[in-house]
Amino acid sequence: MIRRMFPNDPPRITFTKDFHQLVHGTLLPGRAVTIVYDADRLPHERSEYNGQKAWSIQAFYKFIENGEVRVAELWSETGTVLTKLSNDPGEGTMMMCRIDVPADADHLTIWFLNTGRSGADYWDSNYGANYIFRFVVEDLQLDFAEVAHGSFRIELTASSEVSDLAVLYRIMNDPSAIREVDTRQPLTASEPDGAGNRRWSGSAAVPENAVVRFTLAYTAYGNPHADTNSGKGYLTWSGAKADPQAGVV
Amino acid sequence: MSSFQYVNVQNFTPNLGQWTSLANVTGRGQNGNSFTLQMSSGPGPVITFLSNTAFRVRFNPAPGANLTNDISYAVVNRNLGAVKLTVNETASAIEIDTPVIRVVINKNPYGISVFRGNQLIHADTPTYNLVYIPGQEVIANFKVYPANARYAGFGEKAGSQLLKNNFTMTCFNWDNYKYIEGGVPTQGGPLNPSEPLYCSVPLLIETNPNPVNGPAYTYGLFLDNSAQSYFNVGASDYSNMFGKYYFGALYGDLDYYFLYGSDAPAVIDEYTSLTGRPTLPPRYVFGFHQGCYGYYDETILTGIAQTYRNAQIPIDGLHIDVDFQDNYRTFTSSNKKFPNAQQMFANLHQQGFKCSTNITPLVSANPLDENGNPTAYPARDSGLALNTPGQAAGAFIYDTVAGGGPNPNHFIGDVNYGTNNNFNPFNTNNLGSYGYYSDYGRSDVQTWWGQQYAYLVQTLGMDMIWQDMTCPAITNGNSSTFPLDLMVSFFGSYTEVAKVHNSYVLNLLEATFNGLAALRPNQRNFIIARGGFAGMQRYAALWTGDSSSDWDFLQINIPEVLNLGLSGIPISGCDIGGFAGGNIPDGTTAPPIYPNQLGGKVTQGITNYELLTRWMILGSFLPWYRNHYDGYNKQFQEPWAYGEPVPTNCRYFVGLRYRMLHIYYSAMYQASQTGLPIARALFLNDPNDLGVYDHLDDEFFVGHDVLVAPILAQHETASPPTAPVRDVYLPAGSQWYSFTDNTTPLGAPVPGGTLITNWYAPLSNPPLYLMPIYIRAGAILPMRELEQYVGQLVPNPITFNIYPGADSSFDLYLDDGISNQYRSGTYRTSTVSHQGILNGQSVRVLRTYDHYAPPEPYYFVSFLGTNPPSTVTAAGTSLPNVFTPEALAAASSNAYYYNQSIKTTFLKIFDVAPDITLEVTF
Repeated sequence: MIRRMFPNDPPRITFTKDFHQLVHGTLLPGRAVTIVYDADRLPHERSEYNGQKAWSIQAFYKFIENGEVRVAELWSETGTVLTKLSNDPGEGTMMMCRIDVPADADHLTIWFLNTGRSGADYWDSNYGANYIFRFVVEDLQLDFAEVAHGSFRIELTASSEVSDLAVLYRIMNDPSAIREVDTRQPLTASEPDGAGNRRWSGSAAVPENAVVRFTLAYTAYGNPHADTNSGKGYLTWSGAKADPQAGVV
Repeated sequence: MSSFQYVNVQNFTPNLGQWTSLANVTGRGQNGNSFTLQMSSGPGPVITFLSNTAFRVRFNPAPGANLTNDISYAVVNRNLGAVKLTVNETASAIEIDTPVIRVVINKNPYGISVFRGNQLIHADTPTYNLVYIPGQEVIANFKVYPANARYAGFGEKAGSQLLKNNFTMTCFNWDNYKYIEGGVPTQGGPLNPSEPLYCSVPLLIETNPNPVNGPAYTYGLFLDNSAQSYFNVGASDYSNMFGKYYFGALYGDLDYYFLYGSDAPAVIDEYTSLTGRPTLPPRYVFGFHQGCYGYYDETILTGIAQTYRNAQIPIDGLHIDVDFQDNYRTFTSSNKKFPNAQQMFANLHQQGFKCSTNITPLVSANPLDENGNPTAYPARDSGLALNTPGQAAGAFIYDTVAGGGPNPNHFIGDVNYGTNNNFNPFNTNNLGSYGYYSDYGRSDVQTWWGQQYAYLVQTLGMDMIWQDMTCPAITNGNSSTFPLDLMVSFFGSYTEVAKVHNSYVLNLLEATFNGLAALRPNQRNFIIARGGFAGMQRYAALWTGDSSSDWDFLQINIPEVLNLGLSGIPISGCDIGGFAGGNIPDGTTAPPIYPNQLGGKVTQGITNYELLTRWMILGSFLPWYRNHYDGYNKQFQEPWAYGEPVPTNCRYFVGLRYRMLHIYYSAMYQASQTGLPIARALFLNDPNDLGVYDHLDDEFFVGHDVLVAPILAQHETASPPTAPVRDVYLPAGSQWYSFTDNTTPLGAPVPGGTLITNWYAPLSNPPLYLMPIYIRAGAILPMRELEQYVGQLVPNPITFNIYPGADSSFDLYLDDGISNQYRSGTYRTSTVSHQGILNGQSVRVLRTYDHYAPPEPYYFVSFLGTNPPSTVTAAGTSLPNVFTPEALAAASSNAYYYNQSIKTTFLKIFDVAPDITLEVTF
């Protein structure tokens, strides 16, 4: 089994203002996860009353499909939210909350609501589908990945709930890599074993000396999920010596 | 969650009265100058005298705490002078007399008081003073906050007030972007001194110019503790703090030094004797500098350099950010972006530029170089391979946390350098890296780290080092730094980061300083750092982190730099213009517009021209003078890129800086000898004028005699516009001349103690009058001719401008400005003095240490505000009047001429006599 990066870091999900959701660390049942949310995703309601902030952004979340919906109010470590941060991409107007993920959680579903004195509700809910984060380390086990003899080959073990597993890769030492879009290569599944797990594998032709960076994408219960190795991706090349801390498999 | 957390100022609560206070003193031992107290509850504090004016108090409530091991990263010298003690003990107190102060240790209960004669100048609060929580490591000490006391120092602190009376502060090195990311309980931001910032100096200076019980006094109190520490100076934020202050820390010893001084300079002298003084930097450091995150290739960088020269705005320094590196590999250069780096630097040197690049503590673990290939990376590879007997393998910190047992994996930090926004064609959109962090608490690691600069310094010819992300700034820890339970080396063992957090940067700077010295021993090196701890002045200067283009940052610039100077750090400054974008709703910075395609140009994001101009003007008087901005989010910030009158106005003040450079340089020499800063709070020079204490926040001195009062608020571009006026207070005890820069005759002197109201300084004024500058009557100001970079003009003779007024002197320091020969004695100090004689002035130029010959064969002496002279002599010999400035310049022997239009007499004196007296009568 290939280890992921930052295994000991407390899990954190960052919702960026350009509507990406970045997972850092290992999201697991029984661990608290920090939600970092750029308030510029919901910029509509910023009312004040008597000079005080009179708006809020709340996170709604649940851990099983039809489970109890819980609510947490997002707050700022600075004690307030300063709009002057709002035009610095990469920094943002970050608010946060911490969520204790119970040991029996199946996944984390989360969405956000911005309200204030206007009385209007403004939602950030992925157009009603909500943001769903599965426990990737329980879904996927990366067993093998290598570049050899002009081929990039990968093998995984995935839980029974995983479907449409694909690898997204790019060749880093291709001079056009910066502008290149990741190539999506669907993987092929074996028959399930006794536990319902399946082996997935695939390969793609690459140059002999290719340095490949890849991430994984899959579907579970109709929802898309990704394993980005805390945003760093996985690296492999011909003769690579495994170094999980550096993302090398 | 780890039990080691950042704790904000209102959650450190010794004043709730629930902590345990030290009990009664039941006995004492004495070993030389050290007194060990025995308390009814167990071992008590150890009080050690370092001189007749300084003593140390050390206490740790932990059972078996070792108070005999003198380990400290900050303190380098505990022998501060002669100690002569007389001890008297009574049933109620132990009295320890020195020839200067009397220290009284009350026994029932414990409490320390300090007297000067019969005047109480310092005291613990009577009962609840030294407090702790049994079983924990937190400690604090309450002191009396007497009437009329003023508090300053505290290292790098936000806020628009120099005095921090009635504020609460914490010392926790935090890479605090825009000063709004630190955890503060109320409104954060640059105006809030509670924000934790990048550099921590737990030094409190209490100065009391008018105590109710006697004459003025000053003392310093330095808490030598590199864990998160606190000062609450009478701030009743969570409790009633009237009449008292406290300091304390989450972990470690209560280890504080009391430093008595008759005035603040004396305290700074003691403090910098304790924690060390700076070596002399290269003279060019005091020139102007330009930096940008976004000078991402050679074409851009060299274009910027040439444009400065074309614009005739003097400049010495160019600062290249992590853009310089090969895929964010620290210590490397990018062959894609800077393919001819060695030649490029050689060319820039030819043009008079000196360069730095950004060196963070990160050693990238990314195996790929900028071409996407897994290639060797010497810093990483040698760091992993470091093998020192008796030490952990490698140079890097392991991912071992308190109570977790040894972890064979290294700690990997994740670093965010922002977003590309399609600007830099060499990078993807996400900028940053991840990697290892060195364990600088190990001497072998420090040595290894220093060696990593060889390529930059020896191969490429890099002049300066820009030490960034020093806290260190990482995104996967907590509070923007390491996980606080991470274990790091500490004097031969390991401890949690939380207990030594603020010293991480100090060890980094020491490693860099010593490494550069070993690699380039004959030349002065220079480090400009974003963080520090007490004692950092031994190694580096400081810039005050990621400011933003907001008027608030301009307003705090003066108190922040002055307090750093009071805290022993003589060279500091802010990112002129603001590094980050500003408060867009206020119209300070236009919103940036990003290109659609990678490699496009960011447009807009332009710092308001009024703010930029005012900041360039203020900055020209601060020790570190660098315009620095985020080019990934701003179109430009170089003054020549603006329309007129911005370039003209900035050009004048940058030029004035260069002509005044020797005032800064001589003041720097003084700082290296006594710690006295270059930019001085008014009370450092004029402590006896009570009026100055009401004007500390927005005016200051350069050296002793140049008083500057910049415009710090938005006027012309405000909505609605307001008149650009400000008040100026001129300290009592001297008269003052409005600075005319020898362009017009001096006006009448203004009496000291005058508050000039509504000094009008619109940007349409001639540049000289864009801010009030006043010169102390009788001052001697050495000025040089304008040059575009330090050393452009050789020779560049000094003109000593003698202002009418009281007798005075100026201590001039001369050396070659770049080599280390001064350390072996190759320098010259001279005292230039003047005194009134019948109908005239006598000036003496006396070399007090004479082992350096400057390239200038002569100097000028100008007597401002004079009538045509009737006699002019040098060493008793009459000098001829040559009548014109051209003739004076061409004169091959001592001569003079009188300039009627500015009413100034100029003498040209050949620098051949070690002691010469000039006399001029009018």
